[in-house]
Amino acid sequence: MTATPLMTVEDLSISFRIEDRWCRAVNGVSFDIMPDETLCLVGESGCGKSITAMSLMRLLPGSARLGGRIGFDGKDILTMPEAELQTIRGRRIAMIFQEPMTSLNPVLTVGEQIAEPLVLHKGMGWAEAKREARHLLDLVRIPDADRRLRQYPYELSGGMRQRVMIAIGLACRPEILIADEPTTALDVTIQAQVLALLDEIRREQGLSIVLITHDLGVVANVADRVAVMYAGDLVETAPAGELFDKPSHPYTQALLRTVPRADAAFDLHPIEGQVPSIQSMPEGCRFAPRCGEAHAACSSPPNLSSGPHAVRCWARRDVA
Amino acid sequence: MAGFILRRLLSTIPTLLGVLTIVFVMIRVAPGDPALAILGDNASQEALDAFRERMGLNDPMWVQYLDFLRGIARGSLGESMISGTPVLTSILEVLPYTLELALGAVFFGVVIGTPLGIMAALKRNGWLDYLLRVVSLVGLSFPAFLTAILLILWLAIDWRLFPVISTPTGGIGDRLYNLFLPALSLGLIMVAYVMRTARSAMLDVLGEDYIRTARAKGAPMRRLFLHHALRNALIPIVTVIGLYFGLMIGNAVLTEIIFNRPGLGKLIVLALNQRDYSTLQGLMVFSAFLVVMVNLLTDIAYGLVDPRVKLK
Ligand SMILES: Nc1ncnc2c1ncn2[C@@H]1O[C@H](COP(=O)(O)OP(=O)(O)OP(=O)(O)O)[C@@H](O)[C@H]1O
Ligand code: SF4
Ligand SMILES: [Mg+2]
Repeated sequence: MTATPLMTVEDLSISFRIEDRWCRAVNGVSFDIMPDETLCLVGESGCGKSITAMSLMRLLPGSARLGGRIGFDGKDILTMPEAELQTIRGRRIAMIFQEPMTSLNPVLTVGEQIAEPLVLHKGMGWAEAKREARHLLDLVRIPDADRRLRQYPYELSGGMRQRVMIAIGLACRPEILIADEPTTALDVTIQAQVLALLDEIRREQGLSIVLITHDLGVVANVADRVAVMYAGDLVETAPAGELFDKPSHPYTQALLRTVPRADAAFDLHPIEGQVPSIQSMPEGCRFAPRCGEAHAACSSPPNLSSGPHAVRCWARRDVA
Repeated sequence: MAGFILRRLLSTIPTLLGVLTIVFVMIRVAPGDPALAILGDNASQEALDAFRERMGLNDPMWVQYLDFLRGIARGSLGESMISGTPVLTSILEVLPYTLELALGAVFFGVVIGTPLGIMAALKRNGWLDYLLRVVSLVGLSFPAFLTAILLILWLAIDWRLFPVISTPTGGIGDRLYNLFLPALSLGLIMVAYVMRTARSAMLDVLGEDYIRTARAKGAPMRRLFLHHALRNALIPIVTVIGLYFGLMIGNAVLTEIIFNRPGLGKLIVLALNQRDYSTLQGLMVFSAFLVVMVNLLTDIAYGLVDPRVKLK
């Protein structure tokens, strides 16, 4: 691993003001995005995956307070002027959102929405950009492209809309594509198609994908590296194979036990309890209330160990 | 689009029929005998009978009702009981003045209200937002005739910028100049309504997921607001304009009287004073048609702004 990371997230923290109090939703998360890899961000609902992903493009509402550094191309995304950020968004980093039904503008045609980033960033005229949009629809396997381009989002199914979102994301051939649960709103067969499509495009075009999901089956299929989040903490990160073979953090292990597996190494059961709300985070290790291995040390927060397989847990100080 | 308009046109028929029936009943149950009211207490019995016969007042109710509907179907609103002129003719004669007043008011409402509302939304909770909210609240609770009088005192009498009496004649320049003050005073309520709607519509839209998508594409602020957000915010704004256009025609009556302008207002007052029931009935029917037409135009405007509408 000698390649330099495309993006370096260092000690990212995100707070929201709720009832006159700043609540930390993401708590000092660090990870790298390497060229041409698929990094999967996993964790239960409410662990802070989406807001972490949105911070990578500084897309959170103004009410969010961000800390840390997001290094990209020698600069810090978090402090760069808005105008400079606008030349990166959509051109070098693109994002597909969790909500395909509401993420497209209802009063603009599909064609215009796909062509827009090309007009904004590539200096194309609308006519040229629409022609390019046609190719993008072919790329995301939407048949009958000419008709589709003239349609409005309400005329498209959820799967189609998510493909349109992917086409928008890919329009300017970004270096990083962030896909936030691109398939949760879709039915199972479409899910597989969309994911396969993303993976195929990644291999053909050479881009890095940050894929957010809580479906570990998906992770096993496409991830190069995995980062596990719990309640705003990054609790474990490792190359995908290693994470599935030797999950270390009690939360990761519990998460893997929730997935049916062919070798049946684990019985299938859900994790008891719930992710704490950001207004009442436990002191010390945030997983402690749900952790079978909790002990005295866990009342103070553990650090993330170093190395390619890093774990944040007092009981795993010895992991290499 | 043509099919959509046709469908909307057909769907106005039941509404119109309902309104016509209400107007017919209202005029019949209103206290007072039209014959007596018009011919005076001293009129002879023969004169009264002849009048009733001529006006069809002796016919059974249902015959009168069918006559009434038949007349409307033929495009006639009946004749004035006083002068005998067809009501429609008197209306069409003064309608342009009222329409230009109402349109002028809507124009002010839209060109002042929309940008102010959008600005308030963009600077939410800033000083401008608070100021505009207070002003619109005051504006809404202020009776229209009072604003009209204040404007006359201030702009026409003190500053002598505009005429006190609005005479809608002469060339286009003169006409607009005469229209300015009445349209502004009538339009101020509209400004308040449009501003509030524009503000809240814009705030709603700015919180939508597709605005986030547009930001993620790298769209600059201007494009975000003017292209992605405004088009969507226009949908509720168009509704309000349509809704209040009817109200503007109603309120125009007072404004016309204050500024001594010809128009439906003067026609109504005259008909009331003369107990000209048939003219009043015709005026009511006509306003009902007007409101239905405005609603229809609003729906068509929807169809233009929102691609989803045509489907429904
Ligand atoms: N604008 C906001 N204001 C206040 N709290 C917020 C805001 N956005 C997110 N949060 C909180 O931050 C936490 C993390 O949210 P996030 O959407 O990142 O979760 P997630 O991991 O993506 O979950 P899911 O799998 O359900 O999408 C949640 O507790 C959420 O309530
Ligand atoms: S630090 Fe303690 S409570 Fe937290 S995961 Fe490790 S063992 Fe469990
Ligand atoms: Mg999410």
